[in-house]
Amino acid sequence: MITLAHLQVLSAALFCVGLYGVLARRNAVLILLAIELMLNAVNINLIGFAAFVDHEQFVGQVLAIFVITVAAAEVGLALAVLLRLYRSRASVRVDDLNMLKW
Amino acid sequence: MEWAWLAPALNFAAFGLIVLGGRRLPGQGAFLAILAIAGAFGVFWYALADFLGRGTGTYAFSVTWFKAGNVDVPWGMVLDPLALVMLGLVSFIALVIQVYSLGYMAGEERFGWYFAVHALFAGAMLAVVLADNLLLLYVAWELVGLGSYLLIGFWYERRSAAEAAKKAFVTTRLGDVGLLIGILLLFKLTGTFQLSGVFAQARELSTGVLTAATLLIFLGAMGKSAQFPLHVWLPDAMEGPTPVSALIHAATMVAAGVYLVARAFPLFELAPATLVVVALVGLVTAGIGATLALVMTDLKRVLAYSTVSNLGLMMLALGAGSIAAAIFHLVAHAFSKALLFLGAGSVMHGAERTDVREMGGLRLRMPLTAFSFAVGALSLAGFPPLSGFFSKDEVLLAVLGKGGVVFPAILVVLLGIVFLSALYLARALLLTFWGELKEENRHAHEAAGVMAVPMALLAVGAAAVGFLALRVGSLSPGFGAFLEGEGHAFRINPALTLASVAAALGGFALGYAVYQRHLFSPQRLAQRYSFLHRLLVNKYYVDHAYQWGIDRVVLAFSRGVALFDRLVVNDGGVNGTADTVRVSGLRLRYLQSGLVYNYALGIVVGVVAVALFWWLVIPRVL
Amino acid sequence: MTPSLFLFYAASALTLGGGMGVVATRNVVYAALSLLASLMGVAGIYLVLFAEFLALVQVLIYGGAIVIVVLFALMLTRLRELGGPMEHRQWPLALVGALGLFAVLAAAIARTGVPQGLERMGPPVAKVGASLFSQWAVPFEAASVLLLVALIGAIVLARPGGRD
Repeated sequence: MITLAHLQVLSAALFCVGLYGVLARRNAVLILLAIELMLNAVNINLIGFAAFVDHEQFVGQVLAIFVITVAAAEVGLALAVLLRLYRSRASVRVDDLNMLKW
Repeated sequence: MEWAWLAPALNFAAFGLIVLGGRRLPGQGAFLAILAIAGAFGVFWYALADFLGRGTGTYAFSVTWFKAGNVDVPWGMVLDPLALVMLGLVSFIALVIQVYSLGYMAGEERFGWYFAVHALFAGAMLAVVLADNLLLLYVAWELVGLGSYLLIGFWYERRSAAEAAKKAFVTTRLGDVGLLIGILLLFKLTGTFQLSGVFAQARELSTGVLTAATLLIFLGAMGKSAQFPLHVWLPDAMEGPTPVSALIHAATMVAAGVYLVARAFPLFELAPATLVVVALVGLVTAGIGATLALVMTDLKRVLAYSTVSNLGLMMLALGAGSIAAAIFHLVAHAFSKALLFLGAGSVMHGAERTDVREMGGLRLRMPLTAFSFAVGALSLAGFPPLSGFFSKDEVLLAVLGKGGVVFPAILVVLLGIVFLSALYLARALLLTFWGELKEENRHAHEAAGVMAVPMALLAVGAAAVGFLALRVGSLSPGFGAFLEGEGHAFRINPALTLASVAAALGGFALGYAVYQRHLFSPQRLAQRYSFLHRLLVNKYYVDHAYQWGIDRVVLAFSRGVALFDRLVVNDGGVNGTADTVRVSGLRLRYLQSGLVYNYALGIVVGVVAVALFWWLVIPRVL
Repeated sequence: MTPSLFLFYAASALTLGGGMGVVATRNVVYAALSLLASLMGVAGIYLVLFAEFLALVQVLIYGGAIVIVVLFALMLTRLRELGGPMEHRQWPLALVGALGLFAVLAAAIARTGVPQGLERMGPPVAKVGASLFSQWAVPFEAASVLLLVALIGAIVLARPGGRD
């Protein structure tokens, strides 16, 4: 039997995988990919709750739709920014974005 | 009687006025000081008349000054025979000397300031004398010390004067600390500063505590009255102008210590151990003063050590239990010593010399000065019928009357001191005024009128005051009775009187033989007893002992404290704190790598840490 | 092992495997493709959970649009100098942090008691659609505006031109 716990654990695992990617990767685009993973993990969590807990309105699914929407918008914009950055610095390495350094 | 407070108040007012506006007034405002002290003198006569009319007793009046908690500190006066005598003495001598100063300090640039401090001093001294509570007395006491400091160091451009003033202040400070502790001790035990209150409760206190308190108070008296070993400041205080030496260091301030013990006598009576200490200290001081006066070459220093010696006598009288003898000697000594100092001042003014070895035969050029000086010297040596004779006699009587084992021994030493006093006074007198008039002194001239009149007045006083001791029918009850009641009238013991006069005559004769007739040579004596001579010339090495103490103890301690201050407080505390901040900033700034992923990692780690803390630590702690 | 459980595990394996591919591989294109795989796995999960509409949306949007865009971006930012390591120097710490967070989350999950059991239910698509246009109408419209804004913004930002 699938239980909510299964889904929560899956969601947590996927989230942490994505988190590792965000923290460890150098290429900004790859960081974006990892962020997508995290967003999906969240979605899994939401859908899970919608299925197990919310039997009337499936609010979880509605929210998940919105998450996907926003994720799409965000990816588009983020890539636009990265392109801009690439043009001026010829690199999308996050290491080089250290203007806030002491 | 209630107007007695005017005496100090007028003088303080004069001080204030001269300080504020003296420059613009004629004579830089000196006349204000003289007016004030004359006013005080007038108050004395008024009070005296009142006293004689109403009969002797104590009159007091006070007004609340401030309240602190449930302690009520008053500002008040008590006027009893003792205070009255002091009032008269201080105001008269101060008046006379201020007039003398008009001549002596003429042409001085800070003329006005001189008189201002004189007024301050007079006001403070009168406040000490009239105070009815210990706190007020202490405040005025300190002001007296301040006045002395300012006047000793009047010519502060001279290094030696500044040092002498400092020495005086610091040495008396040692005594003042004792006084303060004593006052606070009494306050703690009796709950009041009022003298009347303290005396009333004194009987209930234990002897040990009383002994401690009185010893502490005596410590204060030792400082101001130059008792051994706190006597070292008095000779150095001669750096001040001579009228200052006459007033403060002969007649008034140094008498404050004697007055203090007299005033607190009800307490001292209950602590016989302290009285023995007082007497012994007085005796030692008298001996030291007399022996050192013999070898000093500076005229003023001879007189300074003479003062030390006589102050010792006064303390000895107090230790022997007779306030009357002590105060009477105080009065006689005040007149005589002030007179001697004014004479010395006249010599300095006229011949511009202070070293007795360079003087001689000055009576030919300044006869009035010589005569006055002679009167003072003879009085102090104890020649009848001058005042010094009467007062010394009473001191001897008091010591004799004490009986026991200690005091008769003291009596013998006392007679020796009388002998020595006559000797050194003869030396001073003869070396200065008799003998050959040296070439370089031919230009010496007599003092001007404004200086001569005060000297004459003091000479009359020195001569006549002695007779106050005696009963004169129903007009005057005699000094002793005036002060202490009927049982203490002066008496004469013929044998003792004879002995003291003989000692005085003997001393004087020896002086005459050595210094006028040159029968013995002091120089050869000095060579034969060189150890003794050196001991005396170095003032018994007391100053050296003090210096050693300061160098080894005080300065060493302060070096340690300075080290602590530099290392711990400054380097550690102040600089250390700043450096810590700076260094930690230097290290911590690396946290600002500018790289967002570092910050993100920080967030994650933080979340995990908080979760762990929340789950693992909080349940255990709470 | 019921069929649904088996499907669930299969989809989870795909999801997590793809995820690890995203974060571990050296080749950026492989990473993008791993993401695609992972997202398909997620769609599978949705199916198991009776969220058919969402599975559809997932495949369409993510697989059809986002991954394509990402691949374009990767092409445009072709990096010659990317010979170096793909990870920062802090990757061990990151690993620790991520594992730690997982541990914390797992502990939290273990402590919470939640209802079990999956009901057989009818397709909730109609219900979802209805609520989307009635209860959630305002957020829905806002989301459309958001998309419009993002679109315009992306165009503005990515425009070729001198201004930096």
